[in-house]
Amino acid sequence: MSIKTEEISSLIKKQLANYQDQVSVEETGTVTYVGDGVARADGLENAMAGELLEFSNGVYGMAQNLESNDVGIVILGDFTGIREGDTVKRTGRIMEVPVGDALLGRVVDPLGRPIDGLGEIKTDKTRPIERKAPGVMERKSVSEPLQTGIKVIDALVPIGRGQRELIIGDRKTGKTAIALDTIINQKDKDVICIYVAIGQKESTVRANVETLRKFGAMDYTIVVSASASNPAPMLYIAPYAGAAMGEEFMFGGKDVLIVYDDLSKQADAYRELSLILRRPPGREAYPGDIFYTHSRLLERAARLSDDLGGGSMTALPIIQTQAGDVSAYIPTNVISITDGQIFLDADEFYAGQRPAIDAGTSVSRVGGDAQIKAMKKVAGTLRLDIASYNELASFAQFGSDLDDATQAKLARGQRTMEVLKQGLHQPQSAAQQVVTLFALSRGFIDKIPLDDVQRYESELAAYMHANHQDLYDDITKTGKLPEGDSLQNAVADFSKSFQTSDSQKKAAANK
Amino acid sequence: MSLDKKRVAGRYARALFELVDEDNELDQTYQELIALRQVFEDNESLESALAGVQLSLDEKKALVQDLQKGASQPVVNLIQMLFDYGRMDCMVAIIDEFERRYDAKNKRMHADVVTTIQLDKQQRDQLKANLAKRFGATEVVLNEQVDPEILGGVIVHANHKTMDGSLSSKIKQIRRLLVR
Repeated sequence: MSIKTEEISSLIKKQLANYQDQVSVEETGTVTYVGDGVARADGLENAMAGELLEFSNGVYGMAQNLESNDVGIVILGDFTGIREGDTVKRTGRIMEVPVGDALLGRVVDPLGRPIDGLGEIKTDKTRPIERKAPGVMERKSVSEPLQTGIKVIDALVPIGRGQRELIIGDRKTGKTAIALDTIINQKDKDVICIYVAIGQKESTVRANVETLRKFGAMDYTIVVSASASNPAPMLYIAPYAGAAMGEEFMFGGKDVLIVYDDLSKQADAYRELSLILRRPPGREAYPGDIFYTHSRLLERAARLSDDLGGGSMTALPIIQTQAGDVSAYIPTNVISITDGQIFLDADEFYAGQRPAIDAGTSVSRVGGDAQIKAMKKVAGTLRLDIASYNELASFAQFGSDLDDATQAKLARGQRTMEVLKQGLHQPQSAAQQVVTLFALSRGFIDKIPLDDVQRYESELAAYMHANHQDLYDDITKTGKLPEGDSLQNAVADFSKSFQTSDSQKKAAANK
Repeated sequence: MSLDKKRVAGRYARALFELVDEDNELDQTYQELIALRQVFEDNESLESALAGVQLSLDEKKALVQDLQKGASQPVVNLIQMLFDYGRMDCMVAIIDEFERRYDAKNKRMHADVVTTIQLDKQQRDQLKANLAKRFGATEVVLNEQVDPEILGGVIVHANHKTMDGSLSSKIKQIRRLLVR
C-alpha cells in the first residue's frame, strides 16, 4: 500500500481550517499547595464556586473553597504531575458531563469518559453535574409502580416511579443484588437504568457489568464507575454525574432508574476531601454540609408533571451499616431524606431467608399508591401475618403443646416466609407474583409440606403459563384480580394435581 | 503557612502605606523599599539568617543596623518592628504588597513579559501602550524575561491574567486539533 500524500494533506488542511490564530487571554493562578487530591492556588480572583479549572498539565480541577487569599481546588485526576508554582487557568465552565443515548450500554468514569474500551462516545450534548432539583410545581405525585421483580419488595415495600427508596444493610447481605435484579427486571419495560458504582473494587464492577450483560440489561443501562483506586473527588462527583445523565432522559419524558452503590463511600470521600480542604469537622468527622450533599442529590429524583413530559427518575441509594447500626450519622440522614427503606438483616441472610428483607423495619412511604390493585388485594395482610408469625415463632420455641389455631398460624407463617424466598437474578413478573401470593392467601399452600413450597411455586407458574396465560394477561393489563372464580378455580385445579415429594416417593416405591 | 504570611503582609503593608500617605512621603518610601527588596533578593540567605536561629542576637542586630543605614524614619521603624516581632521573613511579601497598593494608587501596572529575543525600544513602547489601553493603566512597567523555549511570539502575565501569543502554544493547539 502506498501512502497517498495528497489525500492526507487535504485531510489535515480540512482540520486546520477550523484553527483560528488568536492570542488566548486567560485568567490564571499559581498553585501554592498540592496534596491528597486537593490543590490551593493564588490568584483566580473571579473563579466561581464549582467552576472547572485546568492545570498546566491538562488535568482538571473543581473550585471548591473560595477564600480571601486563595482558592481550594479538588483535582479530578492524577495529582502527582502537579507541582507548586504551576499555573491553573479558568475555563469559565461549570463541571459538565456528556449525556444522551450514546451512553447506553457503556461504562464511563464520573467525567463521562469511556472506560470499557469500546471507543469514543459520540454525543455533543452535555449537562452540568449539579442542578437544582425540580420544584413543587414541576412535580406530580408518584402513581405508577416500578416493578422490582422481587416478590417481597413488590408486595411489602412497593416502589413507585419517581420515588427514592433506600436499600440499607450490613456488608454482604445482598444490597447490590437487589439493585441489580431490579435493573434486570426492567428489560422491555422502557426504563433507562443507571448504575453508579462508588468506591467499589474494579473486579466487582466488572462482575456486575458482566451480570447485566448476561441478562441483556446493558442495552438500556449506563454504568458510572469511580472505583476504590480513583481519588476522592471522583468518588464525590460520581453520583451527581450519574444523576445528570439520568435527568437528560427524565426531561425527555422517559422513566429512569438510578442506583447509587453506595452513598456511605461517597460520604467518606467527601469527608476526606473536606478535611483536606480544612473545613471544620462535625459529627463522626463529617463536614457540616454532609446532609445537604445527600439531600440535594436525592431531591433530583422526581416524577415530572405532564407539562414537562411526565418523565421520572427513581433513585435506589444504597447505604452500608456497621453491625446493623441504623442510628449512625449517615444512615439516619439518608433514611430521613428518602421515601422509605428496605432493611436487610444479616441474621436472616445467614439463616437462608434470601432476599433477607426485614419486613418489620422496611417501609415505603409513597409506593402504596403506586401498587397495582391485584397486588394490594393479595398482599394486604402480608405484613401483619409476618409480624404475628415472628411473635408466635419466638413464643412457640418454649411451649410444645399448641392449640390448632396457633399451629395453623405457625404453619401459614412458615410457608409465607418460604414463599418470599427468591433466587438470585430471577425476577418475576407482577402477574406471577400475584398468583403465587393469591395461592398463599387463599390457603392453598397450607397443605403443602414446607420442603415442597418452592417447587409448588415454580410449577404453579409453569402451569399457569401453559394453561391459563389469559389470566396472566388479564392481571398485567387491568392490574386487577380477574372477575369471578376463574383464578380460584385455576389454582385449585393445579393444587389437586400437585404431587408432594412424599407421594412421589410412595408412587415410585409401589412401582 | 503561606496563607498566614500573606495575611500578615497585607496588614503591615496597609499600615505603612496609610502612614506614609498621610505624611506625603509615599514616593520616597517606595524607592527605599524597592532598594531594600533588592538587597534581600541579592542576598538570598539574608532573610533566613535574620528569621532563623543560626546567628546570635547580637550578630542579627548588627545586620539590622546595617539595613537601617540611610533609610527614612518610617522604613527604619518598619525594619525594627519586624525584627522585634520576629516577622523578618515577611519583609519581601510586605514590600510586594506595598508595591501593589502603590501601583493601584498611581494606576501603574507590572507585567511579566516572556519573549525569545530581547525587545527593542520600539517594541517595548508598543507593548506598553497596548497593555496600558487594555488594563486602563497610565504607566506600565515591564519585567522582561528571555526564554527561547517558546519559539516565537510573546507571553504576558499581568493582573492574574495570561495573554499567550507564543508560537509553542499555538503549535500545541494545532497538535491537539489534529490528534482529536
